[in-house]
Amino acid sequence: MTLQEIKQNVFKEISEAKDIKNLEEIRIKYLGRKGLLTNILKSLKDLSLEKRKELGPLANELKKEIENALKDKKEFLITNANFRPLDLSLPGKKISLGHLHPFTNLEKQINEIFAQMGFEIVESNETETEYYNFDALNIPADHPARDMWDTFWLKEKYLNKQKYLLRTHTSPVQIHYMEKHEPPFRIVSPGKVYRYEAIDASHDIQFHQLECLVVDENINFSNFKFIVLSFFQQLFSKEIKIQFVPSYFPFVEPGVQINISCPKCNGKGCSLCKNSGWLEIAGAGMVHPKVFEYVGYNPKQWQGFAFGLGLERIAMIKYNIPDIRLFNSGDLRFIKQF
Amino acid sequence: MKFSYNWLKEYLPKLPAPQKLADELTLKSFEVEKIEKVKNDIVLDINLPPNRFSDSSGHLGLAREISAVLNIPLKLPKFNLIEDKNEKASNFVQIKIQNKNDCLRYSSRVIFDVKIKESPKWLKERLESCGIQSINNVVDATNYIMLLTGQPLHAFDYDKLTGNKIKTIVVRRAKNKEKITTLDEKTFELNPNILLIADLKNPLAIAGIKGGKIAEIDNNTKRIVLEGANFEPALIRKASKQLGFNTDASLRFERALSSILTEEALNYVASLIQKIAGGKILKGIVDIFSQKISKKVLGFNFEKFYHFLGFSIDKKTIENSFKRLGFKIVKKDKDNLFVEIPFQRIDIERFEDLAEEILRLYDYNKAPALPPIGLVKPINISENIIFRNKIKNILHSCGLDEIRTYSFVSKNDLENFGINPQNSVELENPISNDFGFLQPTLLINLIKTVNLNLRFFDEVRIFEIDKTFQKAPVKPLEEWRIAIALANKNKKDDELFFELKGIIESLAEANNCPDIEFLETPIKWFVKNRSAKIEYDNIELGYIGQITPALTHKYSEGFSIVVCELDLEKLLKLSEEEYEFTPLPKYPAVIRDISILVDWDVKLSEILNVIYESEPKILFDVDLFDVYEGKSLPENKKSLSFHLIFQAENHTLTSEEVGKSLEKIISNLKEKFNAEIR
Repeated sequence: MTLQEIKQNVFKEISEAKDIKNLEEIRIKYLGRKGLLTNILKSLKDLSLEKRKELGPLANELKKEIENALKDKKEFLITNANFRPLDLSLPGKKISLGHLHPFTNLEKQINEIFAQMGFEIVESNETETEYYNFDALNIPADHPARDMWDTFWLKEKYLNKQKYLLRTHTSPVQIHYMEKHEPPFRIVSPGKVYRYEAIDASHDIQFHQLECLVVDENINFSNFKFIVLSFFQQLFSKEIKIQFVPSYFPFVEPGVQINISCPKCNGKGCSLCKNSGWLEIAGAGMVHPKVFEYVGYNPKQWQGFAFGLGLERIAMIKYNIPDIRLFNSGDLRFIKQF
Repeated sequence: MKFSYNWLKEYLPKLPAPQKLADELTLKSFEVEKIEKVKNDIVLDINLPPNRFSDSSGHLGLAREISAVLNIPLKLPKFNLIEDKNEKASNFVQIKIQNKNDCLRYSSRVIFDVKIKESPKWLKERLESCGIQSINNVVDATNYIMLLTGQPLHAFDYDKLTGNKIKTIVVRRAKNKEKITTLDEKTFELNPNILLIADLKNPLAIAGIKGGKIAEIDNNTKRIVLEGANFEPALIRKASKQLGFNTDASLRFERALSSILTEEALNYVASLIQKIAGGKILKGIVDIFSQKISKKVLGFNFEKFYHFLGFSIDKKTIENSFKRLGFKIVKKDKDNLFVEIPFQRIDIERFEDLAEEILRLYDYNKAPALPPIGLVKPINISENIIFRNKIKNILHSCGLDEIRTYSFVSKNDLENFGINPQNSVELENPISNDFGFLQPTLLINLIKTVNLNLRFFDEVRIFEIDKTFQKAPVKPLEEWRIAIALANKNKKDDELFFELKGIIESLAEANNCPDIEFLETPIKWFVKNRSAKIEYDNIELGYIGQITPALTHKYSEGFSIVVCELDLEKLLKLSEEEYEFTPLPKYPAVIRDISILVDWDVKLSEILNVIYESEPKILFDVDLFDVYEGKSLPENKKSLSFHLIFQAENHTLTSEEVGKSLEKIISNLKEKFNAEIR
């Protein structure tokens, strides 16, 4: 191709270029290492001096013009980029994520709330000895309070001759932790617990609890109320109110049942709270001095509170789940909703 | 426990309406579970805590409690006791207690010349409200006084007891295989764990539980012996559990009653019987009271109380509350009160119990909520929890759904999986055979869950993170595991296998152990040649495999399921190792691609070994980028394509160096596998 021919073609091609890629192809075609104009420039050295003097400036001039045209066109293309309109109503390309069990997020949320309030998060065994599940919590053998916890017992005896059971509550964590640590501390411990019960829409043989224990020289009843209130307000909403009513658990004194104002109707009364405006949510109290004695703390020096709550109950309230059996069902029609 | 509203109203003239009463009681004393109309009465069903039976399981005690918490006046009932002046009860009855620890007190009264008949209407109605059937006037009177005072009572027919004039009542343990038939015609075979009331010959009653047929009050009964006793609570509880027999009496005895109650209750019941059945009450109570109780006085320090509460309650209010509860203030000074506890309040043992009394009368809900002071220290979150959440997020991002299932499996499940039930943790009292053992592996419930969901979905991709349980010498061994299962009705099982392998590799890479190995190992649950142990650095992390059709068919129609189970804590340990930086290469890499054709059963791992061994120095990495088996190839052959990446640490490679190396690799591949280079 002669310079003349190049000149005739290249500017037409540049003006017709549709996009940057196209433009780059044109650049390579003429100005690339083996480009048409590059070849002419390379061949100049083989020409006679005269010819060289005639063609040289022309070729170099053309090169500059092409470069400028490319640059202008590039700028034009960038500022006037033109795309084909899309049908935005078409579905997105599916990238499949799984679904976490509703508890996983709930546990995470609860743990975060407590972590922010300076609580340590600890765990313990699900198989437990009679001593930790009952005796050390001031529930001696043959005490009628044991009827409050229907228990699964394990068949085998182990080396330490202790009778083993599936823990009926997370409270044994209190004893394990206190045996190994000195106050002051604040802990929570989530975990699975078991009860020998008939399974129905509101009872299961296996469920989750969260145990909370705070021990310090100055921790008092008003602090206990503050932590409980702060927790439920962060978990549900600032509007939540709490109510303490007398209750009995041998490992606390005074023992209370914690009610929260129904988050669904704000305490006005609805089907969830059976028109009472309140929901029973936790058992709690100030740590019984006998429990401190069991773990070798001086009850004259230390004070504390503890509470235990059922996670299933919270999840059922929070996500409007009517049947406790769904949690352990493995039914993906349930799981995939979360 | 059922309480009659009308009855309470007799002692509490200012008693509020039932619903209001129930609300107040629930807020300050006991939870009222139900309010029910029974004929002309209202019945409150109250959930009485076990430690309050001694003072509140009778209408009188509950009325006392209500009077205290509502601050309304209490009008006590009057019983007029008229004893015979001449005949002494002790001339007709004597009591022998074999072991003082079994029976803390045994009190008795004797009444002669009673006339057994139907009870008056008012009495029948009271019993009916509280769910007790009317029998006759004497038996009803004992039940009525129990409902009034909380003290169970019993009446024997004096003339049916062995002995002439003086009848001996013995409180003793039953002999082995001794038998008794109770009033409700049930016969029990007893043993020495069970306490009996007997005469010199026959058992008369199972102590604290139920009276026997032998000395039953009948229409011809003229002379009666009344029992008001106090038994060791644990003994009664054990006996009642062993016999599977609960009664109104055992319910009260096993929760512990004050031994002070027997005397008052006997006086009341004697007086009532005389009123409705006539007769003369012999003089005196025959009373064996082996462990007399003394007055209990507790100190109450105001400062300590305020320290416990975090706020203060006016001293006058405190003093007043004690008075309302019937706690006598026997001494006081500037800082302390000394409070005498009524005998029946056996639940009050220490300062904290007094604090509870004051606080509930004050109202828990009037207490302020105050932020705690002190304790600033870094918090610790169980690394296991953090790690589990991390794994869950990774698997969730891999498109898996998280499930949770029971920790239980059945014996049948274990046998299906070829696990010896002897080695698994068994429950003593399972709820049913389906829940007889704790799971030794997560796979059993995982496979069941896959099959459940294949009824609704073509594809199931699930995981569970949970504990497994194994027998161990010292205590049951609990292990956290991760289990994953993939099933897809429309995919080839080969594809599923490699999908799961890929997920495990991603999981390993995200936990700082990228070079995990899959070592083909036969495992009985899995299809032959489709199972592997998963190892890292010679540590066994778990296994992967395709479940055998024989096993899946036990749970479903038998779609292919690929599963893995990993030890969470081992993985956690590995992931804790710190990352270490490797310097970036200084000299450029040279990449050459080769494709080889080999027999279909030649393993990739063998080929890679040959390639790496052929060039130990400058071959930096080998990357398989294509595997092809198919029409355009000869039968039983597959084509594998690799990027070979050459790099040296100390110089730029020349094309001769690389060419030489490549030649060596190719010639070795030809030699070892008869490979054809394409």
